[in-house]
Amino acid sequence: MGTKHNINIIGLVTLILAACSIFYELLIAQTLNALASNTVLWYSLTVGLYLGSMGFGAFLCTKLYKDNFTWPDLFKIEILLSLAGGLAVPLLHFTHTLYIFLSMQGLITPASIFLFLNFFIIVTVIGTLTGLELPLLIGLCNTLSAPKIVTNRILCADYTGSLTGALIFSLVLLPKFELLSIGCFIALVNLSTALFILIYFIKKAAFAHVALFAAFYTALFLCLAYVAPVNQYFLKKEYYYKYTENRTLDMFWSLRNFPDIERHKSVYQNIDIVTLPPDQNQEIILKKLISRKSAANPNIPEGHLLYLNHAFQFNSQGEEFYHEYLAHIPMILNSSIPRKVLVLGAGDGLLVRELKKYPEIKSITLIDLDKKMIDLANTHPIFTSLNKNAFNDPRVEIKITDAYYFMKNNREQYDAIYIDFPVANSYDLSKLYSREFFFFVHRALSTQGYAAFESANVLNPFIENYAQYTKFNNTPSIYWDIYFNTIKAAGFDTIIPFFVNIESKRAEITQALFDFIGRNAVEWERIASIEKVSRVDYVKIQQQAAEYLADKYIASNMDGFIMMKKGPEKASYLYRDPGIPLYALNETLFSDAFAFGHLYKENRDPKNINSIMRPILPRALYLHVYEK
Amino acid sequence: MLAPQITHILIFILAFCSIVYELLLAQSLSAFLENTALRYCVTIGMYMFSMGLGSLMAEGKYTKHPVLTLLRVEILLTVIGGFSLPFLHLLNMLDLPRIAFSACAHILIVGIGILTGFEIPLFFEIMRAKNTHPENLVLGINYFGAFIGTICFAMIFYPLAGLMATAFFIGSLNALAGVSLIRLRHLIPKAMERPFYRLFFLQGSILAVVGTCLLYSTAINEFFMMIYMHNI
Repeated sequence: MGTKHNINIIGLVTLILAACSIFYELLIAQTLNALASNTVLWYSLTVGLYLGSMGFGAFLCTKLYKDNFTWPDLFKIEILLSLAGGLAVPLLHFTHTLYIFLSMQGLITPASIFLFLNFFIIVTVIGTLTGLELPLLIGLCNTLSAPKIVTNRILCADYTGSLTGALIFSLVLLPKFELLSIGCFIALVNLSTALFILIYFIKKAAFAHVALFAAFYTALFLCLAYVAPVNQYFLKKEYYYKYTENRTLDMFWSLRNFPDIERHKSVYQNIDIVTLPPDQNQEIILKKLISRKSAANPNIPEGHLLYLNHAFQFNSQGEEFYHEYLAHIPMILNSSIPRKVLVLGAGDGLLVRELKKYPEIKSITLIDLDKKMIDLANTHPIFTSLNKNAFNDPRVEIKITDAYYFMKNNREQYDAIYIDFPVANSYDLSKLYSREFFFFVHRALSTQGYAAFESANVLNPFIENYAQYTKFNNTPSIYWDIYFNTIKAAGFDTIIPFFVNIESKRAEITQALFDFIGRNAVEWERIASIEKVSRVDYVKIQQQAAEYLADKYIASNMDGFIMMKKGPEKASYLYRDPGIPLYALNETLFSDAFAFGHLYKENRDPKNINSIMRPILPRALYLHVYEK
Repeated sequence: MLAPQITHILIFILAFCSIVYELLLAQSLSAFLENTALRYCVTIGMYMFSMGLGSLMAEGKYTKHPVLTLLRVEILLTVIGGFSLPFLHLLNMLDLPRIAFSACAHILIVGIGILTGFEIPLFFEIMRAKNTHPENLVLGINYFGAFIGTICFAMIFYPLAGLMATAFFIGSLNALAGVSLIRLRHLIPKAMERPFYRLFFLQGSILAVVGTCLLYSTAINEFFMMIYMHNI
């Protein structure tokens, strides 16, 4: 029967539109999650705003259309939705780029307000339009048949579409495709549904319609074809913002001369390999000055940075500081060299490269979640030359699994556990810095065993009395509190913090920066504007500027680490030559690592324990601050 | 005569509680299993789907005595949602294969969704006595309550209280809402008064239990976490 046929078709249309609608919602949540990670916050906010504006849309429906629902009304809404939905992801990217540049001018608060406002507007517009859809569809169907049955069918189609959309998005689309592509594709589906409505239900098309569809389809297909360059445009804006001239107008320049970002997408994360622009020699020169790695290995590729989900992991020049400190300082502090070592994370192979130097270590077990990362470590030329084929060793066993669940189910004991995860800026990572996780680590350690990890952002309370560093560091002091209390609650009695402190290299660094400023007019302009100085007494100012930059350089390199042992021990910070080749660490740097002392707390603060059931990491509004 | 204000407040509170239950479950699954983004996507999808199912199921005999049915729904919601965290912990202690744990947890999500879906048609019935087309108002307040609920969860409950305390708090709020249905007792026919009061006292006792749990939520959480960590 014609009517029944029509009802089923409307049902199908409802299903597709509902799926498109939830795709837009999840896309927006995920885009912001990727740009300013805090999954819980962005997903919750998106869901709430979406529901709210859907309600508003439903309310608007009766006001706008009274009881007179027509197919052209639905058609107009679908066109608007396709437009809004297709533009949502690029708009959010663009908003984020503007946020970066405003942030660099110091306008953090206006930038944050701007970001939230845009997010709010985009979600509300799409939500309202979606809210208008359903009553329209039900009303249109009611003109065909008995209202009650029809309403239920349409509602059912709508909810099935939502569920299907949510599942397809999270299980199929998100792991495989870039967000920009997904957005274009959904807009295409939405647009095609609108075309179907025009042809099947409205049955007449004006020239305006043809022109509209031609333009729209062309635009979308072009977008899909050019997703890669557009993606590169936004990626470069994010990764190279420091190397532009710091003006807000720079966000409109194409950065074509900058190297492309090499992106490897895995199911779990975006792995970005960023190559420094060729004229950014300052960073490389400085690192070569303070470490012997490049002199000893002239073939190592220069100026490559690794980012996981837009979070910085390491720089090919300077990673030796991080990895030598993490691997060897606990080894020196410990009374003996461990036989059986567990490494959690560190899929890039650089930590294992350090551990392999000890013949006494008989077994190294590495747990990493991401197979793609391990493959890159084994096959990508940049990685293999940095990690020196670390995994190619009979002592090394790699297990691809989630570290949290591995530790929870683990019954073996290890003499040392190294933890090398990205900084906790999402809930999934926060679990890996929780009391429960550290408890599992504690349980897996032998009596004399130790664990060590990088503790981000703990520097502030330690450098309270060092004005030359505090002016560059404005992270809140609470992080040390959180780590200390969490580790204590897990059962560890000995907690030893240490820092990369290259104060002893100050003279060389200052001299190099002095020369660099002299040669580089652009750099000079930049310093002149920061320090608000005139060009009188050139050399004196140049010296002051070099000292300022040296302070900044030393402060920015102060990575913090924590070593834990089970029983209470009095740490003796005596240097013992580990008897292996080292490029960065030496005796002076070793003792300087403990120069800031210890901030031991007698009374534990239960409020500051990070737990999987009450996570206090990441701190609520994790919006990255982009500085010059 | 109706008391429109109390029904408006009730719709708001119940929508608020319902969405927070779902976000709680999404977050708990993320704690017990993994992959937060996946958990949230799936939970949201199943929630909307089961709300739809609930709306469809709420007809015929269910809508005959809306206040009574609503109270039954609230009792069920308080028990399932308010005690969802302890339930998941107990489930976790059984050492089931992952897929079984996941299935049970998703049954909770669907259950809460269906019960929530039930609520809206019931409110339509209750408000029809005064207003012939209450649909838009009910839906509007419902969506608004959900909106405020997500903001409160993301910015207040989750970072400050943690999951266990939030579950008990929302359960208490839910039970309070159920208990306040006594304000609508003038809508109940004489024959149904006895069953209503029985349910009322049941809801009251559940309120007492979940309220006590809320007061001792830190201790209860520690108890379960100790079992969780030492579970061999």
